This record gives sequence, structure tokens and C-alpha cells, in this order.
Amino acid sequence: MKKGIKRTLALVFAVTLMISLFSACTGKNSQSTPGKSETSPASSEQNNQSESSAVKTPLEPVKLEVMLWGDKPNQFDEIVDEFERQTKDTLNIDLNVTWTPLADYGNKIKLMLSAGQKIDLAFDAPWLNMPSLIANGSYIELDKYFNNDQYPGLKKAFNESLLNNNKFAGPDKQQHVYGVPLGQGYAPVYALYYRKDLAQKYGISEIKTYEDMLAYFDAVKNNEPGITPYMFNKDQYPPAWIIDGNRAIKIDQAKNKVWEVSTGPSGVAKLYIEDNKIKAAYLPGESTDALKDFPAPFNTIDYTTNEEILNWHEKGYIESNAINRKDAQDQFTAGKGGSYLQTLDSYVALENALKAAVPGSELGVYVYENNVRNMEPASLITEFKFWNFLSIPATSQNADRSMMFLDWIFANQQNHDLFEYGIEGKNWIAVGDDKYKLPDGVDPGQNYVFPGYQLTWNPNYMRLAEAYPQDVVKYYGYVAQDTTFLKHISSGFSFNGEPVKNETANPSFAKMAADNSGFELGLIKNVADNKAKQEQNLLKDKRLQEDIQKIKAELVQQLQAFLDAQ
Amino acid sequence: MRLSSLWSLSTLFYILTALFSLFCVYPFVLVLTSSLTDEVELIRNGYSLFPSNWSIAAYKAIFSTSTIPRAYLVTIFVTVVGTCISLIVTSMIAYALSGRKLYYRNHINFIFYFTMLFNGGLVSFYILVTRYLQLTDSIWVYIVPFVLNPWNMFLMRNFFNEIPDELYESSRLEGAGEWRILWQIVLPLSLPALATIGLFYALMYWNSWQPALLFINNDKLFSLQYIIMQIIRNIDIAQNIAVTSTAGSLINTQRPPAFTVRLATAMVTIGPIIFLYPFLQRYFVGGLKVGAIKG
Repeated sequence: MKKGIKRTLALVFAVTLMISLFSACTGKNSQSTPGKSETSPASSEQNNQSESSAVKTPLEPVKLEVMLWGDKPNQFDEIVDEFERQTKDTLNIDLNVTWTPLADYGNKIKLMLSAGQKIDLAFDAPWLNMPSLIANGSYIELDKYFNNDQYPGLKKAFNESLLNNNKFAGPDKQQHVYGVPLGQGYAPVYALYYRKDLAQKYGISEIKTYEDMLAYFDAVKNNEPGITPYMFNKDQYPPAWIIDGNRAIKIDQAKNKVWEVSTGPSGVAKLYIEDNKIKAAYLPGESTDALKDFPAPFNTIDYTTNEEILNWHEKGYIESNAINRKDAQDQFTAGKGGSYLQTLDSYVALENALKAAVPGSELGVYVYENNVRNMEPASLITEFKFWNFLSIPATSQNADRSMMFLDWIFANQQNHDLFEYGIEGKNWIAVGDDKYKLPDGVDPGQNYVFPGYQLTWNPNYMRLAEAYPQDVVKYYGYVAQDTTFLKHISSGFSFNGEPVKNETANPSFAKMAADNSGFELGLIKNVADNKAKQEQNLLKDKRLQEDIQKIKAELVQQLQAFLDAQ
Repeated sequence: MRLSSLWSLSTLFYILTALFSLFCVYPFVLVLTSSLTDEVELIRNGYSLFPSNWSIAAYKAIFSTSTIPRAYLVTIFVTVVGTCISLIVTSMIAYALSGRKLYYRNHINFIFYFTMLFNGGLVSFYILVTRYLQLTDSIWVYIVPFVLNPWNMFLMRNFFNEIPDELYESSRLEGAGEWRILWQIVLPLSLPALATIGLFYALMYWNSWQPALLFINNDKLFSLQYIIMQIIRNIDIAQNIAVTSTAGSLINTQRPPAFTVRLATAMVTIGPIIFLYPFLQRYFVGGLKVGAIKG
């Protein structure tokens, strides 16, 4: 009897095991198979037609999955609730935003898309996954949503030239819009922030020229032992920027028809382009003979900047070894740095932090690029490209509704400001049409701060914080004008590294970058000799030289084809 | 003479070991004191054992939102429930594979062993968990894919093999069935093994953050370790990206949290484990030779 029961029990267990195996196969609410890119434009076209006639009747509720990166902003849930409350009758969208740390974001998106997850809106960028995901058809083309009267907000916020400069070449080798471009200006204005109180203490009323700046560094070096005259993070704003900016190297090059184009991890190539024809090209790492066809003075490598950095290092203007520095900004605002490089928009944040930590301190601003400081035209080179985009994956089934959501955001200042700044009156107070301030008693650390470059940035809807001083505000007007910018000859071109991806993966490129950082930090004396030695060693690396030639040839071919098509 | 040299030798060893353990403990104490200093002082003067300005602002900031307490609950639940389930399942499998009575047990052993060497990769794992097991945004995603660790199972199986055969034979003679033998004879005898394996599993569950990264979007279900991971990864990016906004904002967006907040979060996360270790230490040490030579 017992044996029989035991046998039955064992049988029951075995059957349970098998059932649990098979139950996994069926699954409950089976998620449908991922839509191929051929089917989704077709279905969205049908949706478009039916919706264009039914735009007045309330829409079906839909849940939009949005992928963004970084920390979830404080009070974000309240903003989303407010948005859903405002658009219950018009858009009827249930917004679900997932925030992932940036370091994992790129891989997570790729993983989710390859597993067929339905994402409706994803942040992406040329420096992230866009080139590869566009090439394998993961993102849909968005051309039809722009300059379309059914999407008036998008039409208003994104004009023709902006879109044309931010197109990408798709799998069909044609230029299409693959992401909503998000940005506020084409190039930032960088400035050297310094301690005005220290400058005045040592007889320098204001830094107006490069020589003034050096005098300030000297004064700080000799009289304030605990303060480093120029503080910087190794990977962020090295002294080379200031030195090159003062010499206006890039503008000089551009005026002489020498342009720099990035090839990705294999470095920045210099090209001499005359009448839309590439006459010569040089990729760092190859022999300087490649430079001989360039116009003088660009036909030799010039080490003046490196010598100057070494000079700074020997005079003690920069730390003896900045290789591990990661918190230069915090050091500056805590009073351990004499100056720090940052974009103009950080003025208020830096001032607040500095005043809180160092009593009696004052923030000064020195725009080190001479042309920019004097607000001359054609001083900033740009490709008129933005760096941040919102793309719609092909697996999404709500492409139209996602674009309607974006259309709502860009329809007017009010909608836009809800996401960018928060609930008016609670998170911010409008000052006129184009300024804002924080309400009294609001703790900045707990307030809503949204990364606008992921959803809302647009040149037509910008507000300035009220607290900016006039001499900073005038630069905003300066960068809002198109005449300020010099159009880079490769505007609209992005190098497709796929055909030479084995060559670009050569580890010697990374080694070159690591070796150069020694020069950038002023750690290596006898610059000319050591650079010559470095060049010798690189020339001996046959594999590297072959790879460089291949990459260069590919770049020249792609760029020439692009220029010919202009 | 011999005794005194032995005595001085052992004093020397005592001193060396004491010094070594002080060195090991020093970073931890440093983190503790630094998390209790004032933020600006920390940036200015760096880490120190005796800062001049004490402040508990960092701890206040952490506990002002319910993120950390909720993450604590999640992690504790996952650890306790996960360890129980894992122990039950692992001991059942190990028992079945121990001894010499199961047909094809070598083939079954090999299948388990094979999974230790190869796996299907991240994409297939992702598809399995999200599409077939439907565990996205569920707390069970921390537990279900990780219930059985083959290495622990083999360890337990070897331990069971060491229990003398006579015990099995005599219990069978008395009429005990396999279940009874497992629950009432084998498991009570294997408490060291259970404690060790349980500790391994508990550590694994306590430290798990990858499921949160891949499968969980609801921030109420984040584990403690994932919160720290997020902070660290977001900080690195925040310090390196150049956020170029021409209109700007009153605060630099995505400024990393204060140094003291990071240190305080680290303290809060490792706190419980530090207190648990001394009590479980003897099981750890004793249990390491579980599954080794007989006797």
C-alpha cells in the first residue's frame, strides 16, 4: 500500500515538473512578435489616415515607453501626472519613463532592441548608438512628421535648415531624419572662471588678455601656496584649450582651407580642401610627409602649444600631476583652485557654490578665445549639428502617438516649460518671456531639474536664469546669431566607420592617445625631441601605418563623395 | 632558551597580525569618519580620521527620501526568501545525485556541470526572462533565475556522499522512505554544509544588482546595491560629460551628489553584513572544508 502511494506521489511530482516546463512555452498574455521595419511604416500609415479624420474625437489610451538616461529628477512623477492631467482629453497618453545610468544605457538599448522589446521613444546620439542602429534598420525615418501641417508644433520648432543639417545616411544611402534633434545652440562659449577677489588683491583689476591671465597665475602661484592657479580634470579641459583658443588655431586653419574631421577612435584627420576637392589628408600617427601639400604654415607639425603647456607646468600654473584629478570644479568652488574652465551657462551655479564655501570671494569671467570675446562674426566653427536626438525604434507600435506627444511639447512655450522647468509657481517663476527664477524658499537641491537635452531643448524655447550678469547675457545674443558661426565644410557628413572597423580597432590608436596625454599635462620635457622619438616609434609600427592609410583612404573617399553631392 | 625564543616569536606574530588587521580596518574607519564630516571641509582637506567639522547632513539626506529604506526591504526580502528556496532546491537535487542509486546520474551530473562552463549569452538570457518567464518589473526576477548554483550543488552532494552508508542502510531497513531520510536524517547531519551554502547564497542575493539594471524599471523595486551602482555610474558620467547649454539652468543639471552622501550610502549598505559576519564566521571557516576529504 505504502509503496503504491509512494509511486503515485513520485509520478505526480514528475508530471508537475514536466508541466512547469511546458507552461513556460505557452505564456500568458503573449507579447506579439516584434514588428519588422517593413510592417510598421505600413501600419502607421493606416493609423495616420484614420487619425487625420478622427483627430477631434478622444483617442484610445496608450502607454508610451520612453528610455532616458541619468538620475530620475526629483518630483518627476508629479510633472508627469500634471502632463497626463492636462492632456487627458487630447492625447490620452500614459507616459512611462525609464531612467538608466548612462554607462549602461547604450548596451541596455541594444539589448532591448535585439530582444524585440517595445520601446516608443529612446534617447540616442551620434556619440552613442545611432550610427550602428541606423545602419541595421532599428530606427524609423521621421521625415514625414516634419514640415507637416498635422504636426504644427514640430513644424514651428524645427525649421528646414536645422533638419537638413541633422540628417543621417540610412540603409538606402539617402539622408533622412532619424531622430528629433535636441539642442539650444550650435556651439557653447567657454570661459575661464577666476577669483576676482584674489586678482584685485594682487593688483589685477580684471583679466582682459592672455598676458593678464598669466600675470594672475603668477600672482596666485607666488602668494597663495594652497591654491593651484589653473585647475582642470584630465579628460575635460586641458590647458591646450586656452592656449589654442588664444592663438585661434582652428579659425586660422579654416580660413586657409584646412579642416579637421573626426574618424572616431582613430583620431582627428586634417584635410586640405580647395574648391570642394580634397587635395591632401593627414591622420595623426603617420609620417609628417603627408603634410607637405598643405598650405604653409600648416605643412609642418607645430609644437608651440606643447611647449607652452610645459612652460605652464614648470612655472607651477598647473598641478604637477593632474592625471587623477576628477573633481576640479568642486576644488575650485571650495577655494583650492585659482581658475577653472567651463561653459558660460555654469556662471550662476559656480557663483552660488563659491560664495557658500569661501566668504568674501567673487567670480570673474574671462572669455579666452579672442574673437569670441570681442564678439566678431565667423568666430566659432560648427557643423550646425546637435548632439542629442530622440529616436523611435522600429519595434514601436505607437510612432504616431509618440510624435504627437513631441508635437505637444513643442507647440508652445507653456507646454515646453512644463517638462523643462516644472510646475510654474512651484518649481520656477517666469520673469517676462525669456527669463525665470526660483521661487523663494525652494531648496535648489530638492527642486525639479530636468535634463532638457534629452527631451525638450530647442532654440525657439529658451529661458535664461534671471541671475546672470549682463556681461554674460550679451554672449547669448551673440551665439543666437547665425553670422557668429563659420560653417564646417563637412556639415551634414558623418564618417561611417563600418568598412574599416577592423582597422580602427587597432590598439595602437589608444596607445597613441595615452602617450599624448603626457604632453598634454606638461609632464614631458624636451618636447621636440620626444615628439620626434614618438614619431619614429609610430613609423616603425608597420601594421599601424597600413591601417592609417586604409582609414585615410576610406575617409577621403566618403568625404569626397559627400562634397561632390553638395 | 627554547621556550623564550618561542615566546618572542609568537609575540612577533601577534604584533604583525595586529598591525595587518589594523591596516585592513583603516579604510573602513576612514570611510566612516569621512561620511560624518562637513562637505566643504572634505573637499578642502581630504579624508582624515579626525576631521574638525562633524556633520550628519549626509545621513539626513539619505533618509529624507524613502529610497534607501525601501531598497533595504527589497534586499532583505530577496535574501531571506531566496536563500530558503535555494537551500531547499539545492539540497533536494544534491541528495538525489548523491549515493550510487540513481540511474544515469553521471549524465545528469554532466548536464549540470556543462552549464557551469557555457551559457547562452546575455541576449538569450534576456529573452528568456522577459518574454518567457515574464519576470520584468517583478521582485521574483532577483530570485527565480538564480535559485540553483551548480557549484554549490556539487559541494552539497559531496558532503552528502560522506555520510556513512550504514546510516542510509539502517534507516531503510527501518522502513524510512527517501523523503524521510532527507528531511530527518541527512539534513540535520549536514548543518555545517547548509550554513556554508546558505551563506554563499545569501551573499549572492545580497549583492545582486544586475537583475535591477536589466529587468526592473519600477524604482520601488531597486535593490540596495543597485542604488549604489547608479550613484557611482552617474557620478562618473556627470563629471566627464560637457553639458553645453547656452541658456543654462540655475543648477548644473546632473551635478553628482556630495562626496559625503556617497560615503554615507556605502556605509549604510555594508552595515548589516559587517555585523552579521562575526556570528557566521565559524561556519564559514569550518564549512570551507565541506566536501573535502573524508573525516
